[in-house]
Amino acid sequence: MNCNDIRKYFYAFIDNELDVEKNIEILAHLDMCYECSQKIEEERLLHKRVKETVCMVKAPAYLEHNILKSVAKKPNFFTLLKENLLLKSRLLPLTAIATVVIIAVSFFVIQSNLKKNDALYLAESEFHNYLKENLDPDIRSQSVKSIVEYFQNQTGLSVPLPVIKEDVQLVGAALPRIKGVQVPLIFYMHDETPIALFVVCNSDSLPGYGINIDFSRMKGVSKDNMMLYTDTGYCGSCQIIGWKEAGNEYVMISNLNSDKMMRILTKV
Amino acid sequence: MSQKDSLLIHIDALYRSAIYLVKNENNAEDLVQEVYLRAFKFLQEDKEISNEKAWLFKILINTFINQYRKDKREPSLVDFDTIESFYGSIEEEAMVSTTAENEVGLDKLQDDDVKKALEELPDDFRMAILLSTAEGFSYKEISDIVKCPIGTVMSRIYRGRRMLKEKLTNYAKKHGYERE
Repeated sequence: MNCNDIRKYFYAFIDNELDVEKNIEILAHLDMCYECSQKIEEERLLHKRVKETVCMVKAPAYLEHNILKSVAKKPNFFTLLKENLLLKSRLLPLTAIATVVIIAVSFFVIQSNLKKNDALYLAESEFHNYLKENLDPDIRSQSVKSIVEYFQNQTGLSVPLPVIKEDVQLVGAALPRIKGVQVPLIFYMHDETPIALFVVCNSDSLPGYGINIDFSRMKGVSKDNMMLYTDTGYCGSCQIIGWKEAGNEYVMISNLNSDKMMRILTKV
Repeated sequence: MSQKDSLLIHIDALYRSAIYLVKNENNAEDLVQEVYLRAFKFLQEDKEISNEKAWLFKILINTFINQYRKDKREPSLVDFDTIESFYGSIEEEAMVSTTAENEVGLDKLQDDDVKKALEELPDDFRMAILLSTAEGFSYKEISDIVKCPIGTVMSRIYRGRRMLKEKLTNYAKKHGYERE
């Protein structure tokens, strides 16, 4: 092989890609030819120089970390909670924060309930108080007349009682202070279930004795040309129905459901 | 050592090739990250890998071609890929090269010159040089990595190196004149 033949194989020779026979041929030529051996040294040098320059570059240290992080299994919510929040050192402050949150939430929920219809809330609360005290109203009487007189004596004003069906038994009345004003509260029994009829007098006709309730916040049900307003009591087991009659607002609070309460009212 | 760790040994090699392929550090990081994501996903399928480094480079080249080179719409660079005999095709050039740049001092070259000259090469030639010269893959491995016949690989290596040498010779000469 002459120099031109040999030089065709230079790169393959440098890259160790030639078969044994060809390799020997090249080596033999290089031994004899100074020019070719110089040339191949130059190629080797260039080869080395390129390799050194390229291999100087190193991957940034964070790259491996980023790769492993991106393929790491994403822990689920409970694992994260276990790893991060439920450490002993964090348990106490966490409990404290949770307590504060619960208190705050409860406070605002109760507040919003109160704001929603605080007169109803207070009336219901009074109803529960009377129940706890085994229905110990201020006056125990089964006579409508004596109860009307009682209210008249206490307030100096006439308090009309709504008409209730006969199977509902009148048991007494009370005059608790609700939001600073005295409000007539009349107790009935129906099938051994206590019912408080909370008479909310129109404050225009009974100044100082009665508060107005905003029925518009309650669910309205039209029945026999009369609009009844229903709501769930704050305790969850009570039902409230309200209606307007002869210039007065009446609210009935009971453990009975709304339908039963409606049937008790004669007119409805 | 886990299989992931043994793949991560090649991160420097992949990164330096990626840098020369995409010519941008951020893109190189993204490219390498993508390579490992694909590789680790493959590992989950419990398939066997015989040559990890070559396999990773295969993913690298594939990803580079699919995600980066297609954006540039670079035309096919090697119009002589179809040649049947590589050595026949270079005969003329080999003869010409006997009269070339013998006295050029490569010691005058700076790293930046080499870097620049490499970056200026067409993608296919640069790939072939990175895989052969820098990473030491055999022609057979390179042929498998870039999915080309060995003849094409040899052609790319040969022409790539000639082109590179020409560029570096010019730089070296330029530095020589500047010093004078």
